[in-house]
Amino acid sequence: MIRLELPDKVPVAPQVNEHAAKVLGVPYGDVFNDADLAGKALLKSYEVYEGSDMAFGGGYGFIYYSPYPDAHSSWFFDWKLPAPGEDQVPQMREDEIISSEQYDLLMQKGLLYFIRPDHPVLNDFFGKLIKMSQASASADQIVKARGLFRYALSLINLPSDIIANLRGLKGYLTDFYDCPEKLKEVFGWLVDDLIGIGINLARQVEQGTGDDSKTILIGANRASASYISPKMFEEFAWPYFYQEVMAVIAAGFTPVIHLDGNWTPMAHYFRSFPKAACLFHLDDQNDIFQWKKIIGDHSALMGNVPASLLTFGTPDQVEALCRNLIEEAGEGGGFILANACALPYDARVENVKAMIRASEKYGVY
Amino acid sequence: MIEELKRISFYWQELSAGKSEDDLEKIIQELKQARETIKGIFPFKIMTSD
Repeated sequence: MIRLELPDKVPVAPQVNEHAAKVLGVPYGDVFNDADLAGKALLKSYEVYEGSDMAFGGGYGFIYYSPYPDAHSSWFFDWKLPAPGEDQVPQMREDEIISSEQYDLLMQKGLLYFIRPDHPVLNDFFGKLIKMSQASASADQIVKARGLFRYALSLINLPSDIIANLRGLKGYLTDFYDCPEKLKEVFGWLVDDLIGIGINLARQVEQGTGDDSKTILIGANRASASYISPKMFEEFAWPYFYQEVMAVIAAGFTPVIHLDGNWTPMAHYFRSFPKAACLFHLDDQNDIFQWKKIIGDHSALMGNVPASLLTFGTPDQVEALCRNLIEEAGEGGGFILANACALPYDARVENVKAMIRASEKYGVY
Repeated sequence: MIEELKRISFYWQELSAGKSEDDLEKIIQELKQARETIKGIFPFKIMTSD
């Protein structure tokens, strides 16, 4: 599908992570903190959502305890994590961690200098990793038996996203005007190692699990047109974006380019990547029909049923939108029907089923 | 000991506020150990220049 060959039908990929708790009927905080319960939630999700073409996560929260240099890490960023019994998802309290005068300090000392005083315990993280691996063993067999594809083995952020989280949104945006050259210097300092860390981790996961999905997520948000202009994107983000995607391809992986925010004004840049080599997963702020016109003959698209519709809409409304997506974005192949960004934890189960049903009803080529 | 903490943590002031010498020594050791382990997992310059 990513290679733009015509499949039998439009694949459907609801990303069941936090939502697995809803499927099991327990508060999300219970699943977040209990690997065995997350394993049960995973199994239940595979039963309820049979027909999905993508592997699920169970919603267990080990990623927030990981020291991986990513926005989800509570080693570096201030996260409020759900306690058992609490039906909430994790929430980042984004603030200015460093000032623009401290970019040199960051480059001199490295990210480990910024480990938070309330950081997690490393042994707890390793323990959680092992527990989740054991608890998801049965679910992993389903993944293999059904031939489901995994979204990503590891992830690489754009440098601008890491810096936006360290500076806070206001500081990040004013730096484009106040210290543009320093911003480029710090982006350049980050990019090679972000690539190296992401590719190394993907190889380790491959070796450890035998997973042959060969996918690496490239996550991008703060360089979208929701925050900066296409002109600023070209100067401050595109060179690093291009470098990351080309490095992932050169390493033998498929970039799953997860785009939060509105990237439609930038879509034409992405024709510079090799043809049939990337998958673009679009947030609902993107006009996927424009994307199809701009790049649909060149790269595969994934998306973009809005979170609001999945949570507050009706199955009929979801089915109607999915039909439209399948008929227009799916024309000629190169399309995966999926939620925009992430499936909300409180999405209605009937609405997710409606997505799967729509792919079967309208998606056969 | 404060100087040592300053060398390894941006948050040295929060970490040292109201702490005894023994507390500080423990904090520094734990932080150093965590840094070493993470550096072993991700041996890249953006993690640390140590």
